[in-house]
Amino acid sequence: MGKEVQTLLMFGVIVLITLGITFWASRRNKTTTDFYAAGRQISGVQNGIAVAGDYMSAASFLGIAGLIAFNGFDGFMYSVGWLVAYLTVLLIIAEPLRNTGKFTMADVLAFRLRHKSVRTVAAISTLIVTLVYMLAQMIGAGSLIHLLIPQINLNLAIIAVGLLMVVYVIFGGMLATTWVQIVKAVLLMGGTILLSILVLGHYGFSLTAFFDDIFKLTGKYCAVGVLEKGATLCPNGAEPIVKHYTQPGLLYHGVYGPLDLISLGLALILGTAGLPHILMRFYTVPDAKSARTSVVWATVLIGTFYILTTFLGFGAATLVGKANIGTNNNLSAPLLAQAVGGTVFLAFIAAVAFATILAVVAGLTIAGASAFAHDIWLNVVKNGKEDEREQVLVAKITVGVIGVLAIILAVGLSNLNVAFLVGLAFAIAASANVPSIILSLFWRRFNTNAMIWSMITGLVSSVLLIILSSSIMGIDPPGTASTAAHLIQAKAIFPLTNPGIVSIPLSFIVAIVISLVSTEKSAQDTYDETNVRANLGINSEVAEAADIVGTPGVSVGD
Amino acid sequence: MSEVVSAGDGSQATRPTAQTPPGQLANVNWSAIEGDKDFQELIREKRNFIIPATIFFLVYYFGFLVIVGYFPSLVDVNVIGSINLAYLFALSQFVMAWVIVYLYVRRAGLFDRLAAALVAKVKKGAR
Repeated sequence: MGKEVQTLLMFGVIVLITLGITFWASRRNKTTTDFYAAGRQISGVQNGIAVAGDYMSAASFLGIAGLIAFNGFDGFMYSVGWLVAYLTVLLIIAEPLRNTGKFTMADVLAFRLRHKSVRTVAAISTLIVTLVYMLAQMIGAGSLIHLLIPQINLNLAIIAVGLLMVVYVIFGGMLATTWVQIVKAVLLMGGTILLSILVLGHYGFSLTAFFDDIFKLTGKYCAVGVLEKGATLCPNGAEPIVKHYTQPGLLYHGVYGPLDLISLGLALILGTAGLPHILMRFYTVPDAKSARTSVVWATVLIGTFYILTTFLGFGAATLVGKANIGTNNNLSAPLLAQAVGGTVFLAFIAAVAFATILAVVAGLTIAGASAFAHDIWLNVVKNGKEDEREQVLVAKITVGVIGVLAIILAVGLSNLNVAFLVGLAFAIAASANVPSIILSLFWRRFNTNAMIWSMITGLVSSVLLIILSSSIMGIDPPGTASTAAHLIQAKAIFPLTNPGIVSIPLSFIVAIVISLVSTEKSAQDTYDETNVRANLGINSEVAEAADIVGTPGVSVGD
Repeated sequence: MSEVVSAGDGSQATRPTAQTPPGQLANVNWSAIEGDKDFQELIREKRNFIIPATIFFLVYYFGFLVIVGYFPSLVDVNVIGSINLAYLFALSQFVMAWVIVYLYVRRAGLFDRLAAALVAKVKKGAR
């Protein structure tokens, strides 16, 4: 049986399992609370696993392994930042969010700043972050499927992923999305642990032997300029600097490298707390205490996973080798699986990556749908006049629209770099959403104008700086493939690849200055209520009765 | 089934049924609760943990980035075989995060007790 057939069969199994979950969930999907928040009946532990699942996206699984395989220690910096980010979520965001909101990020903001423009701006920001993140996953999925099964072309793969995600969400809502996420998180952890054991086994379970082998690998870079492929000398004639794979500096070096690293760190640790699909997860649990439990479990799983990226990334570097991985470093983990476990294991790991992408895009779709149907349609267009059946219908139509839009954009922009898109999503989330969430929860003076302008500033500055950075701008040598070429052929104006260090403080400053110079009495008056509700959970949204929504084989309790 | 059921330990204040709307309190004097000394004590207790913990993790994390970025030679020291200080420093970030999570959850028990007592007081007053 060929490699392609095995992979295809594994993919088929994943699709069957997830469709089964969707069918089961579809009969328990009646109200808006069911659709957006799984009836708030997901337990803290289950939600913790689902949060971990939402977070360990294709970008982490395939992306980090590739970054470490190609850049050594510096690639591991992503792993560190992505875990530490959960401290922001745990200490500052999760519990107040659960206590004051209903379905969306805008709920928390509009609570004090009762203004339609607040919901509109917050919903637009949510939709942009969601769509950018979704594009990254879908393009990643498409190229993964295409590379593993060359008979399926890229566009067909993207369309298939898009259609599956629409089916999951329309029929299964948040309940199906959550269980698909849980199943995937378990598969991903299992696959990663197995892969790590196989890598360590290759070194006789000796960590030092493994690291000795990593140490032997080296990478080169130039103090000034970029080392061209195949060149032995730097553009200025100097010898390139050689570093071992265990040494820092292969990715972040030169004048701006360290600052870029810090900028990345800032976007990572704040961005997580502004990702709509992660925030939305905290509405699926019965209360703030379960939201806390979710973060604890998520931290344990995510931390373990990111430590294991050591074996995924460095293992791919030592056992497969950079030269054998080729130009697409996203394939590092699947190729490592093939090297240590044969084609069946390759098919399994590829299927896990596929499941990861399906689950994450489903979560993103729900977050996007809630931003339109709950924030814009219900609270802006319909003035908050609730009609359950109409609401669910509008949400489902939105899912369809988002699905079609995502497919069209992903097919049209399939040349874009996946890591770049994820970085963009994190930067926008950190710059546009997080300052407003934090200030509305903790600062009495914060007002509507401050929120609107801070969000717009964060959104525009992060997008603009990325466009001006070397991710988009750069002069390519003649003969560069169009898929790898920079979109704008000119020298980059902004020296960093991560805009966070500029755009995040800028957004905070705008918010603080406007709050100080303008006064909004109603926003100050409602702060008492926000503060009391956020801390005590009085009048927070409560779970629906257990007989409406259940969880498979698990009793629902506190 | 009653509309509002208070659990034994008070941690689960309200539990709605399928037929009745959730047990939400009406006409709550939010400013009065905000000004209550018990509420202020809860806020103080939370701040006493959250602010130092946040400052600590930010300093520890960004300190790591600054050292790795600007002074890599400080951590470019092999400790056990080829395992160097930079990697151990990176691993210590995971340990740091887990320790803060553990400490927070332990302390949150106190926050929950203070909040539950206050909610009980509010409910009594609202009746």
